[in-house]
Amino acid sequence: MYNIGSALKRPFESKYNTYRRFLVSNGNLSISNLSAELRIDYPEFFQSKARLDCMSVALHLNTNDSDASSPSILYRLSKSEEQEKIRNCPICAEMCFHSSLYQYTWVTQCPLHNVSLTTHCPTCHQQWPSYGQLANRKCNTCGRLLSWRHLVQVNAFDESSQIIEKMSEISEIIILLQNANKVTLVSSSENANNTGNLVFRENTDLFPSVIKSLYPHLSSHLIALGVDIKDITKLVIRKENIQALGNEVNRHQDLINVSEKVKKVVNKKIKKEVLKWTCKKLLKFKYNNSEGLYSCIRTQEELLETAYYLWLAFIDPNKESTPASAVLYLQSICNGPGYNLISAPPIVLNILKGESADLSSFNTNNSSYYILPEDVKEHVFEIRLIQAFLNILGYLIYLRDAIKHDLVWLEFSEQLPSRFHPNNWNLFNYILFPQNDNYLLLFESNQSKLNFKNIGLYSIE
Amino acid sequence: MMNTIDVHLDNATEFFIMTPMIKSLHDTIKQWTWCGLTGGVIVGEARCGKSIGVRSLKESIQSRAGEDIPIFRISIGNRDVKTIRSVYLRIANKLGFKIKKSSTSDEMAFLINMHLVEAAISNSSHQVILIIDEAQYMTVDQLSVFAEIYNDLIDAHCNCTVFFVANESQFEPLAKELIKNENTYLRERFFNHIHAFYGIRNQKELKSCLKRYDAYVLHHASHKTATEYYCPKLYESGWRLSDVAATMWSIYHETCMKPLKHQSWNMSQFTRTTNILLMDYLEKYEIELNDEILEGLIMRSIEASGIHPNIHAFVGRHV
Repeated sequence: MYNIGSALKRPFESKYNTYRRFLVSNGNLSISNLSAELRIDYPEFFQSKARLDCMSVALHLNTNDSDASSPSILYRLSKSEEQEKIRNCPICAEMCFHSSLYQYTWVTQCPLHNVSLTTHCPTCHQQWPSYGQLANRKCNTCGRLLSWRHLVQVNAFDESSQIIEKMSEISEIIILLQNANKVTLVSSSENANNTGNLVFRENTDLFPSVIKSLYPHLSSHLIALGVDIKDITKLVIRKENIQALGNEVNRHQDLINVSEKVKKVVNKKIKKEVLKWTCKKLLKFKYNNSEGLYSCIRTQEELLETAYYLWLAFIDPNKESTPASAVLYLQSICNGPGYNLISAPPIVLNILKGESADLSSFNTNNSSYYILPEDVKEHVFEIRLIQAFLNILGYLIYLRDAIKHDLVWLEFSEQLPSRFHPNNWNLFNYILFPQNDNYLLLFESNQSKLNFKNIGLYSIE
Repeated sequence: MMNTIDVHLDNATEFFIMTPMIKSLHDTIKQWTWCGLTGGVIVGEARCGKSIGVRSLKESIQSRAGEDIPIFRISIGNRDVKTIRSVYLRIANKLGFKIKKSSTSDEMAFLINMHLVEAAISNSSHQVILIIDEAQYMTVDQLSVFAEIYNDLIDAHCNCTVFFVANESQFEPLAKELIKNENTYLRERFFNHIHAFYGIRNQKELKSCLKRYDAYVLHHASHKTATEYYCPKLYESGWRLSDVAATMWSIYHETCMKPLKHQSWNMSQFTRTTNILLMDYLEKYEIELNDEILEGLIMRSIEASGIHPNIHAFVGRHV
């Protein structure tokens, strides 16, 4: 006979904890005896696997984890959990609790006790025991032999307290995350790069604002949990939802009054970068057969820089390009044949107009404007700028093909490299994502053999 | 013929009839549990059927909400050294734990508590029932084990109800100890409520028990009852074993109850008597059965069942 440990079961617990509470609730009974008894009850798990895993699996089956309070999203294979360095809350450890949530590097604080998660036990000063170490650890906080008195004192049985409320709250959030569908939070050990999904990583200024603007509920709940969105290391967007997210990005219409402000921000940001970077770096587009997409990875700074040069080429009178180019561009967008194909961001139009950007007066088909939080505006602006660059580039291509006789265009096109012949490709269906410290550009194309290397920005020096 | 039946009347571990007394015991336990009592005592004469009565409660009883409340039965043995550890060891072993020889009371208490809490949380009222049989063998110190288990489970937000089953005659010394002030903590928890369990006390109860034989199926395939199986011709003619209740009670009352000053006919003696009557005598004499023969058969069955204590006669001859 053995105890399952259901008396210490809590929603949202990890498998590591399932195993620990099994050990704790069986006091000083010998591990070999326990294993032998589990082997009788669950012979199917004891044929080829290691004893430890089998016990864990057997327990997992026996604890009815299908209920909503134990979302499967957080149940990792015991093996991967075992390999990870355990992170835990000292108070939770005392009451024989550990959640998979604590293994996420972006969770730094215990949502139950508001104390920092640690990798070491404050009582015995050793690392929190791994699976293998659990059975032999003799510590009142992290070990196996906890006394009844101790468990009572730390409220390990206290189901009516706020523990359950908090756990239920967390469960709701996790269910919310599951239902959000587009977002999968992954643990630090998980490698999602080979799945074809887009991976958002930390260290981009844009990242938190993207989360905030796209997933307002998610961010508010994470904040409620004490998670700083800036600390989220990685966010995976599933392949099938990439397009949806792209639409989401495009739907953001900014009501910022920008003219001067935009120039200031852009100049401030870019002037420094211009010194560091040159446009000699090529935008290397790679074709992904399985995706049917062309992609190019550049840093935010590089893209801004490139866009900046291109922009200057249009509107800066000191450069070779003249304001007439910008006017032409503007007119083309509003009235020309490319109007239906190009979705120029309003903010760019206003920049090009050189006047205060009052979008309410701007005639556009898209009437659903979106007021962004203050701290998001700047980042959205950056997206807009890059989109502007792409639209400009797209429009140039369109002009080159459609209005070859245009003198302004010819002047400009002379600056483009002779190798730039992107025939038959549709630059307008692009999606822009940050990836790692860079941005990922995705272009749809029907042709897989197009050569986009040396795309041409090389020549705009 | 005997080999073809599914249940043998003389197999005490198999044979069970729901008597009015056992029904009353079940009702009392259910009532105590539903009322939230922390414990109670079931006392009765030795061999009157108490243990069979509590054993027949199955693995659980139903709560008010219709949920199963787990029951654990532990039978205490009489030992020359009566320690607290021995009680923990007995409980832990009975629950199925493989206890190390070096295990302390605390370590065993931990396992037992965990096991009971796990069982208790299976129902929404977080209740679990412990039935301690042969409680008369325990000392007051040993009884404190259950007070501790009770307290520990309360700490874990679970309710433990402990019912003790004891022989009336041997329970008296312990009861006297429990009356003392220093044992109030035990008395108030577990011994304030007493259910007196008796054997058969009147003809009506006897008839009810005999009716159970008439309805007791021995052969599942043919649905043959005990009466039908052993007295097929009588059964076919409409005769039933319960018809002999008046004669049987009259003979028992006159020959045993009065002279031996029995309060009731204990169940083990009753089943022995009835089994002999049915299996050995009625089967043979069913064709020629009349009142006179019946009386004779009943008397011989009672004698054969050992109600009259031969040991008394033996002792008397040698005094």
